[in-house]
Amino acid sequence: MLNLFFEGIQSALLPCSAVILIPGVLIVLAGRDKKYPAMAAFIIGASIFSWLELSEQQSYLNNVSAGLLFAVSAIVAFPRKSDKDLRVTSVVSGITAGIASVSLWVPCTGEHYGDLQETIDENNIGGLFHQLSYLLGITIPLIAVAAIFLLIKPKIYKRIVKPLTYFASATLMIFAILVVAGAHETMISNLTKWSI
Amino acid sequence: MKRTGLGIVIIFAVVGALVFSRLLANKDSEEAIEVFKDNIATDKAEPTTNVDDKEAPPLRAPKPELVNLDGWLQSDATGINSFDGQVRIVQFWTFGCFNCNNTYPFLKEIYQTYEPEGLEIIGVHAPEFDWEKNPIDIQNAANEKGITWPIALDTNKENFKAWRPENRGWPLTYVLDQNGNVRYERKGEKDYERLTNTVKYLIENGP
Repeated sequence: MLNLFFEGIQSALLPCSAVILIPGVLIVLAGRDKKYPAMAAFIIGASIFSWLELSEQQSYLNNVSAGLLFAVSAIVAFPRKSDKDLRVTSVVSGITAGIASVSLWVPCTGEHYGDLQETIDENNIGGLFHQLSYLLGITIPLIAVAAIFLLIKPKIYKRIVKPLTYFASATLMIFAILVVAGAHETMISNLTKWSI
Repeated sequence: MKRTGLGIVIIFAVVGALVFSRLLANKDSEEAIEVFKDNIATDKAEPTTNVDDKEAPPLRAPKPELVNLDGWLQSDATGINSFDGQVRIVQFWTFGCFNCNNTYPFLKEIYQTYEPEGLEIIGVHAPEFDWEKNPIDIQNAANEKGITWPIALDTNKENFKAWRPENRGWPLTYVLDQNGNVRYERKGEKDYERLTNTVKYLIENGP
């Protein structure tokens, strides 16, 4: 399990993880004071769904379904007059974005993730925890993104938090449209090309 | 102040973990090749000492085909049957794939060691992105990475999908015996010991 976690960290900066990390960052930004529940929901949603896909209990979502899930995530994350249900909206937004992200994900397959893919059918529920370890490793940069807000003075933070939420949910919505249109593939393709 | 300090510690810890894990990844690859070289040296000094060598690798699938290819690079082959009689490592790869890159140093070592004894490697190039489809770029990438074995062009990923339909990632590695049957398969990097043992068994004992 620890091996998978470290292999996840190794993959975090590779282009193959961009499709997980970009929506993940947007979820953290949109989470306002509930960044950590949002992040946890994102990782858990991604882990459960990718485990279901890998163990062939669930087929891969097509671009339209994944795009619609991103749209739901963006709408739920959009700021409202009252922040009463912020924890619930952050969690729902995180889970839906997590599921959508892994549906588009072509993972980097190193040694331990290769082992997991070879055995996940037999592992059943154990495979879920292994998948969670790998995704925790990949999403470790999200913790650093959330920590950036600890460096910002509370006064300034109060002023920027709402515009940031608007930006994050609007960007998620744009991403949703790109995914439905299939244009995200060009984006990921270019990102990979530039990184080589 | 406490808040800021905590933020700085978290950010440094994450950046440190990312850098450290990258350094560790490079070291792991080098170590795997060293282990392979050591095993070969031991084998030459004390042949047939490994019990695993005597266990026949199981038959996993009968004679898979490579169909509707867009041609070959570095070979005059017409199909996978052109290599019948030889033990074949078939690797589905694409030149932009990070994990595929990590396997080439090992593949070069095993090719150098076992090619004179009848091993052939077939790299089936199945591109993930459009910019990986141009044969000139594939040839340049092969030259740059020191890939000298035959390359089959599976531009539309027809074979990539047919050989393992539920698969999404690269590399995919197979060993075919002298009759063309699958005796080893693997998703992802490494597992070099099992791969080497399979090749060695087939070369020494036949299919």
